[in-house]
Amino acid sequence: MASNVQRTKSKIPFIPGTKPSAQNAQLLISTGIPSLDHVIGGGLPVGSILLIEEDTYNSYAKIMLKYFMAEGIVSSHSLLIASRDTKPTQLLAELPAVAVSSSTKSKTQATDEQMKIAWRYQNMKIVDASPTGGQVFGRFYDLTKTMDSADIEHADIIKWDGNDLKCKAESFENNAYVDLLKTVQETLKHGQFLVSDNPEKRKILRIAIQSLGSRLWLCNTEESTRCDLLKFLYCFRSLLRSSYAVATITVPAQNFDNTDALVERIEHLSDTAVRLESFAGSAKETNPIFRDYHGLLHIKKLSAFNTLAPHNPESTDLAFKLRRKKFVIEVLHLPPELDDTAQREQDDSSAIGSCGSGNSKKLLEF
Amino acid sequence: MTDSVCSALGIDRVDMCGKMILIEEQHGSDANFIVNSVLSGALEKGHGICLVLFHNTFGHYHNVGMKMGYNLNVLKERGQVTVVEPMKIAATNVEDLGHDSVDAANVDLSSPQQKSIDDTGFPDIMKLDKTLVRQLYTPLKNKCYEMLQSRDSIVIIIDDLSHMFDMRLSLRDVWYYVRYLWSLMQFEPTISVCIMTHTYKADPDSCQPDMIAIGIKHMADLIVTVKSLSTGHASDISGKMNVRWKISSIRRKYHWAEKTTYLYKLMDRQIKLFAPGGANLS
Repeated sequence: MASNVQRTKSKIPFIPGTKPSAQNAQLLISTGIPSLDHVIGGGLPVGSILLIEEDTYNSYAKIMLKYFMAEGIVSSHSLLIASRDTKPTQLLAELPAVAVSSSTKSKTQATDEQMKIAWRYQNMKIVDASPTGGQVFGRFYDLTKTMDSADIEHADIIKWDGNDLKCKAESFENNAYVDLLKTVQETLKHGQFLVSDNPEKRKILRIAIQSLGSRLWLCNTEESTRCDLLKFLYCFRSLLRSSYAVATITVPAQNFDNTDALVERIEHLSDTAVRLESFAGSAKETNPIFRDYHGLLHIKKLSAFNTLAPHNPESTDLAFKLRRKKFVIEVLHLPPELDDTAQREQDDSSAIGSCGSGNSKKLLEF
Repeated sequence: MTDSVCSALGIDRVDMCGKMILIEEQHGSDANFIVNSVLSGALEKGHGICLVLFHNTFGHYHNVGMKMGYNLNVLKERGQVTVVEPMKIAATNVEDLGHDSVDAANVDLSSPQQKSIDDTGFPDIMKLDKTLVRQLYTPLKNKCYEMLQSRDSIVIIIDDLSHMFDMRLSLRDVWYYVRYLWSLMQFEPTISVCIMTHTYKADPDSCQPDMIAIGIKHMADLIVTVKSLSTGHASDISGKMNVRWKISSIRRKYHWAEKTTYLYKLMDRQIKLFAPGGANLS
């Protein structure tokens, strides 16, 4: 068995929960959201960093991170969870369970109907949200159910909450960064995730870091806060590049003082970067154009691993919506314009309820 | 493959020895294709290559090279290509971290520092060390001199100088690094330097990566600026590229304009260049 694995290792090693990229034979893992995988070119390349710039209230970025972790547990990857804001144990306890054969049929029917009405968009594809291929790659998760605690206990999980800092380095002011770096490095080494290692069974390490650079990561001065964060990411990036690990980091980008392009520098240090813009609390919440969605997804950067050209998405106007059993990213399109155009012209919040249009008309007449 | 880019830059005709190329990668674009073009152009001419990799790994360049028709691993064994990988240094530094625990830190600090001042030292970016820039530069210099014994000319390629700021080096330090390279080039006129750096279009008075780019623009002989389309994402075009030759004698010789603009489209195995407005969309 072992020799078999080693012989094939030189080409593409088979690791559960991975698939080779169709474009450049890069090994990919799923983000836990099939439609996001599709948008970013199939999945996250092994050795890369996915940066999620949090939405205003950090509700959706947190869910995306949970999907990433849940997918790791289900595909029996190892997991390293680091968070100073929320206790890693609490994050684990809130992980969603795999959704059992969701009602994809009714959903596609609904979209087909929409297509008939909006004839202009007939040729536009909705991002294919269904996982394909014989091997399971990416699943849907049910947010109403939490994952079985036995599954979580069974998984190989390392938690880091930044309470007990052992390491220290001169060039970092905040030792939490040093300690986290060291934890990552030790995990990579002990779990034999390094490229130079030759374990019997190759596994993937998923690293989830929540709200990196939030208030709990601050240093005494703004300058050193900035330097520490960038330096951490640079070291982190160099660690990941030589290992079978993938990281997802959420960053409260809105809280940063961005006069010196700090957010852009963080994006440059990561490999794939997306920004979430949720409609909650913004004027777009009541805008009828966006009534089908919960927020917009902006692609800031796509990884170009071992190739000249990064993945070219079909469209960059993307929106997301959160259902109980599904988090879907779709190409943004306007809602179908039905015969009662009052909906859009009046911009009345009472008219937004989709089925109430007839009733509201009556109300207006009498 | 990369021929179109090389001829657009003019590096296939001009003797680049003793000249400096600056590749400015504005945020939102990817100028890695220019680095690869310079690399493959230099390989075609038979120059030696010294890769200084802050951003991408050697594996990345090897894989891209395999698509372009050269094998960097083989060339490295033959001695035509040599690599300095500060990224690997960073990873090793993290690994060495735990050895000095909180108390013993000060004791351990002094000895490697002493060692690193002479040329055999190993840079440690985890420490605040004023000589770090020299420690990063010295291996590069040594490798260049080593290579000069067997090769006539060398191209030094720096993949993303702006990452030096991420290592907490100051503007002065990074500027010293550039000046070290500059003086190396003056001492050995068969060396040419190609620096790629990332810029952000932020406040040029305080954003260090932007500042260093302005500084190098004054020194460089050829400036290539790569930017994304200001109109947003397009499926036919990846971005825009400006080429500026600063040596007027060369411009006169080849009848080049001071500044030429191209649009480019990146594909897996090739790069297409278009004049603005002249994209043939097939």
